[in-house]
Amino acid sequence: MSTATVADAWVDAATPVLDQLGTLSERTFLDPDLSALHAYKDSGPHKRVIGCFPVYTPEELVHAAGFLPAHVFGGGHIAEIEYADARIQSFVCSICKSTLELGLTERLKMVDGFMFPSICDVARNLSSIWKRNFPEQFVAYCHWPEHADSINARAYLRSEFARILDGLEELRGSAVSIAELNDSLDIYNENRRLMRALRTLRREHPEKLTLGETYRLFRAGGFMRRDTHSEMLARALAEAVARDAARRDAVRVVLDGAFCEQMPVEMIEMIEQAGCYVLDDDILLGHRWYSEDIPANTDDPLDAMAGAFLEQAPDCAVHYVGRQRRVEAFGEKLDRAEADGVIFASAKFCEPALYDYVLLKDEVERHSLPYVTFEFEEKAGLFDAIQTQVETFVESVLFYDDEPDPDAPGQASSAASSAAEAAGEQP
Amino acid sequence: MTQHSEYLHQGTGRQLQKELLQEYFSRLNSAPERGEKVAYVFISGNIAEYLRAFGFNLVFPEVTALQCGIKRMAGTFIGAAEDLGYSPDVCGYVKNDIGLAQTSSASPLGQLPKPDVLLCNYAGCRTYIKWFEALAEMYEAPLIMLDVPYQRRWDREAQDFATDDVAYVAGQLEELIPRLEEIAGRSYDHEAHGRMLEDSVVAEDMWARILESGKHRPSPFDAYFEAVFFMAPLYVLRGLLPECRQFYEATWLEIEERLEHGIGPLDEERFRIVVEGPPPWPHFRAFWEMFKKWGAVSVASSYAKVGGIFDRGFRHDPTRPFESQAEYCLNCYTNLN
Repeated sequence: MSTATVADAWVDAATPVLDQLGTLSERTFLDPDLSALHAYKDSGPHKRVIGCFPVYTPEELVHAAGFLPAHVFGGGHIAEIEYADARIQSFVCSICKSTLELGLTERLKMVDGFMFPSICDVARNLSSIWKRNFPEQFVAYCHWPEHADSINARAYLRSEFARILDGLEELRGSAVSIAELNDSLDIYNENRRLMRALRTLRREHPEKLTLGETYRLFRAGGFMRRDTHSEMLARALAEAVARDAARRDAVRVVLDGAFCEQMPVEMIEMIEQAGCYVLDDDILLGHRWYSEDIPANTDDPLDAMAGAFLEQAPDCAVHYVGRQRRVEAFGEKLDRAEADGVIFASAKFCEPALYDYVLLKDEVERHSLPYVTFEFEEKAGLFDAIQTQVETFVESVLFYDDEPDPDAPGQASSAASSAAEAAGEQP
Repeated sequence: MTQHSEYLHQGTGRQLQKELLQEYFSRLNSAPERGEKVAYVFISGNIAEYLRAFGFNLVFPEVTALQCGIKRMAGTFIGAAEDLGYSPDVCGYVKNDIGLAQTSSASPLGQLPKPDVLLCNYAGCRTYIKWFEALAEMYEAPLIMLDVPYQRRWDREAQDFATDDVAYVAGQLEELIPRLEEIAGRSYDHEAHGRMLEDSVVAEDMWARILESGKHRPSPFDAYFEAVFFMAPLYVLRGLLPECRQFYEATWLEIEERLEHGIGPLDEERFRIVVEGPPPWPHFRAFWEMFKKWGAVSVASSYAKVGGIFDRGFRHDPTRPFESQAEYCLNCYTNLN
């Protein structure tokens, strides 16, 4: 196995990928200098970097144009807010502020454009603020259809993809061919297939791969081309399958609310270390925006993307699908995961997650499951209170939660709630 | 109708507005008794004429919320919503409405009827989606999305000619007809729809003239505090014949008279100001008094545009009802980038 691959630039070929996740993180999303993006930009005269804001933007189009779709998912621990407050309200989420801060402090100078999806009012307004502050950049605000069962939605969405592609073609100075688009769809299909396989493995054998490892692996993909990322994922998958690890007596949980702003990776790791197996979640949700392959052999790839989007895009806090009620879909998710409990983790000031929480927790109560709630910020260096909350939650489930009394609905959840109160955090 | 002794028309607008809205809400609240159907819809870019062409009575939850605010009842309802788990950091309008629904209490507008359909025309504010998703659960009412794309071209001219977006929204309005007919239990009346839009155009013309009058010195009306009263019929009563149009015809006479006699909302106009943002409802009167005390008159405001930017020339077009209502949604103030 000595054939050199592109992935070798990121991870050492002789060492298991899963043993190099720390270094990989340092080279990608934890790197304060964003060197990976600079390196891509400097690697050739026509290399372009397009910033992608969560949750899903059509990076397949960026890839097809030969550019790097870079996941700029906030500044996390690398940006101190100094200038952004002057251009955006104080009562908005951290990710919008820190992303703007990265731009205003010229740390995203390698970026030639930015795509923002229609996830919330703050992200939408950030797109306009971005255009005003960086008028030379290609800035696309992508409006995703919320009336998915409309007979008009597919044509609309195709034209929306075409509009974004037009902008990318202008940046490139030439048209993107159908073959290039289909190749890109192929590469993304392969990448998503591998991520699906890793997630399935996690659901069936959570002892073989931690949530933190999965996060580090997936997140690194936002800093490299997807074919390169797939090489890495394929190696990691084989390693994880072969892992010999003992199953812990952990609480099986579903985590909801962290679909946009990124939790600090240490907080993600803490949740499982505190005694949970997170068997389903909405972290990095954009990676599984399409639950199946997008047909990559048609003569109208944009239409193929539009069709797949309308059929497959996940029901979530920031996209109204309408195929079924949101609470129903969430209930099914709990059943699929055979969950013992739920963690609601929403970013501070994240309206979509905070609204959803109320409806979803009612569904959790209908399932007679306990839940715990906390708010986080991407920049949370210390999260002792949250850790105590999660640990108390785990204990309450493992040691105190017998069969719920059918005459006392919500009893199980009140145990978790009092655990939350004991930890001094307001849900 | 109260009248200032020296003038014929002073006080007409406020008085008529009060009477018309009282009558409107009283009819609305008794709609279920008459066997009439009720649709909930949002103010921004609202498609009142379209829904009224199916015979729907309309509830505008934002209007309910601001009424609760101004009457200082919102605190109780917001508290009730927070007891359900809503965060202190989310929109007070939403919490007011949900608290009201939960406690089944009467609003200042009376006991509002429950929705037969929630039509989410979320022009510009994505919170609307989350709001109606919650109401759909609470009322077990069907939720229909009208997908109105945000204005996302940076070049204003390109945006104004975004015909593909107009066709998309108009297409949805046409395709929703059978579904709404089923809920309404009656047919969509195309001819009535056209007549309503004709009346809306007259009202819109008058309202644009009232807004323009702020350019005069002194300004004959306060484009923020008074506008709150003068704009309400245009957002709530459009499509009701002939109330909406009559209101603006009568109110224009009042403004015209003020112009003729050089009178404004205050005895002396010391400062001419432009106001951005919605009014602080629970303190509306105290806030207004503060401006009055300083002789400050609003000559323009963004809040007066939330329901439509008629001052920029938009008018409904009765000959193209669907396209025209689509253009209205797409070009409303909250949908501009």
